[in-house]
Amino acid sequence: MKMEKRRAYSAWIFLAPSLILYLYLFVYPTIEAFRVSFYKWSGFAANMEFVGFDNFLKLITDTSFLEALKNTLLLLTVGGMGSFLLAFIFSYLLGSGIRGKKVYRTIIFFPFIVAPVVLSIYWSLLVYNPRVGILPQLLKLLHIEVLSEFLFTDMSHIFWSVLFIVIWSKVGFYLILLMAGIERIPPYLYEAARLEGANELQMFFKITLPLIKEVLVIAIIFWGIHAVKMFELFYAFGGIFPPRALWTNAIYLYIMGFGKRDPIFQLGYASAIGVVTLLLVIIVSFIIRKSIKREIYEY
Amino acid sequence: MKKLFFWLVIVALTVSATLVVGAAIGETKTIVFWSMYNEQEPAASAIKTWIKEYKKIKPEINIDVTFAGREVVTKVMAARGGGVVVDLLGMEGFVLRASLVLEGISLVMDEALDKPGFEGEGLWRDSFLPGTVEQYATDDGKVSIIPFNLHSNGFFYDKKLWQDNGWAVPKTWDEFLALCETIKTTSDIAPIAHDCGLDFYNDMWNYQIMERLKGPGALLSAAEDKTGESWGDPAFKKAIEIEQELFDKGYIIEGCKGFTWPAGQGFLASGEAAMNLNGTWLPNELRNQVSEDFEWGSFPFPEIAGGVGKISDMESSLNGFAAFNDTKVGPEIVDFLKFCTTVDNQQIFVDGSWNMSAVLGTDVPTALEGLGQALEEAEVLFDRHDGLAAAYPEYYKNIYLKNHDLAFLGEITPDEYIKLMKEETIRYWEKQ
Repeated sequence: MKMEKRRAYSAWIFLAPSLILYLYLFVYPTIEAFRVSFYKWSGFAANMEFVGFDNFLKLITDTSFLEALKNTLLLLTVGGMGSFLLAFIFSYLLGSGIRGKKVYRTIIFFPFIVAPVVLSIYWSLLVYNPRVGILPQLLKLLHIEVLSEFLFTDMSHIFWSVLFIVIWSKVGFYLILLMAGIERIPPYLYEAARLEGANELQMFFKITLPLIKEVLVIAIIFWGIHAVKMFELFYAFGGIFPPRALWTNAIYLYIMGFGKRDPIFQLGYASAIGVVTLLLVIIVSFIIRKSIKREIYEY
Repeated sequence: MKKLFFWLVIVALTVSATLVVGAAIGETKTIVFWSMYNEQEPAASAIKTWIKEYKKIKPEINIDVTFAGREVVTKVMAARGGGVVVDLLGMEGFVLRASLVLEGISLVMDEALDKPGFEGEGLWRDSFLPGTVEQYATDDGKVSIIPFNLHSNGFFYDKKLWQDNGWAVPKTWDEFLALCETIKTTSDIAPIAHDCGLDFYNDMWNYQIMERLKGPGALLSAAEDKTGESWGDPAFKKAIEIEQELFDKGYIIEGCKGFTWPAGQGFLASGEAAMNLNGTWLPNELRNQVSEDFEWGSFPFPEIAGGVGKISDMESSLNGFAAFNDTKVGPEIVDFLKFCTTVDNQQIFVDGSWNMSAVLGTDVPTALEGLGQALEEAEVLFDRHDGLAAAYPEYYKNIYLKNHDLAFLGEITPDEYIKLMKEETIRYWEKQ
């Protein structure tokens, strides 16, 4: 008993530094954000006016917030589907015994390590630019006239163009996660399935997918959290200010709270956006956890 | 033991001597100053020169400067929230007004302004271009922002290119359209370069057109009209029609609706477009991009027939300094700002940054001569975005710029724009 108590004390001593940091840097600001979200406050002056749920009620009718929320949800769903679909295709191709597997894997992973600001400048000014961009020039060279005159970054298309960059830059990370799971599956399971006459698609749905479920859940939760909070790539894409079509929840929070170029200083309202975003992350994680049943396979 | 005693006496004497000398030379005070410029910018070099020179005159005052970039207000907000002392802030005037002045946390400068400037000749207030000190005052006229960098807005072009082609600076909108047609049909250059990806750049067209049609303050008044009826004035619809005509006639460079800043203005620098409507910061931004024989020219927004605004009505927007009213070095800040706004020091800023100064007697940089002359002759000064961004930033961003962008880029018709503006103005005021 004494030994157990001593062990518990030691555990608390070792845990204390990280626990204190966690409480101070995450839990305390979160509680503080909840508190501030009930106030009308600029963030500058000391006077804070308690407004109850007014900030949250304002969100419901704020078309700018609803547009940003729509973009966030599109990013979460369409971006997620795109990233995972590509990651699965690449993992299948790389797992099919292709030569130079590591080289391809490195090439696919590379965009993930490039800073989002660099990606933004590269794609906006060098790839998509309607007059001098590589993409329109290439399409012109290939005589695909309809697409060569297509404006990838005008108001109607810019979100989808940036979403493509998000998928392109993130797919490498999810590929690595999925491949780590796939490579753990014993090859004899596939050999047996082949002997039984299973095709590739059947093997994917009956063997691969069930056996990497644990990894997949983690990867999807990663994506969900990342997508709901996404800021930097969309923010940097517009140069000195992101076009409205690129606003996500996180960007709108920043604009409303910290007066990016325009002197809007509504830290109370911005905190309400932050609270809603946090709730969204929790809900998304919960749904993913619940919708993908955890089963234990032993092999 | 004797040795220890000896050393203790030495230490005690040294400490006492230091204290006595310190008291004799006076206490050193520090002004913590955060600036909107980045350290690599020419404007930051000018500020560093001011500080260096000031230190020679007033060695007892330290200026602890941080070049925080354009996000300086956000950074100061966070720093002060975390207990960091910041005394003085340098930023765009309309942002300072919304963040410090209207929140009642800025140091009022009127008393200092009504005393002599640094060189002791005349009142400090009188050393500025008339109207600029009062531009960002509170509604009851209290001044907290000391202006230094004066910006305006107009068209920029390459004088040499225009001379070679025989193109003349237009004074009326009809002349402007005729010039665009000539450029389009007689050269392989696009008449106008523009960055459609920035909503506040798109608005440069609208607030200039509205000023020429209705004079200063029409946009601001419409925003303040809680019934939304003011948006029914035909001028608002006409302004959108004028903008859309520029696209319809192909005067704005092809593909510009897909430009993300700074792609558009780059075409002026590369000689692929003849002009660009922009702020007076443009020559400085493009100084490393233009060719050696590029000769900067600029002219004010032309007059529109039937409108009440004159070509001599000019935009004035200012970068300035504001101090926090909880500062412990108020008199030192006033003295430092008086020093910064002497003609000689402002000339250092003007020469280095290719910007104009709000201080009388400073020269206009060569690149800005056209607009500088127009400002000197200006009869009326109006604020950037007609003062809307400064007065109602949320309305400006989430209602006006949003709907204007839709109309400017042809996503909605002028009538739909007017309808949206009326409806959303009413809704905005209902929520206030």
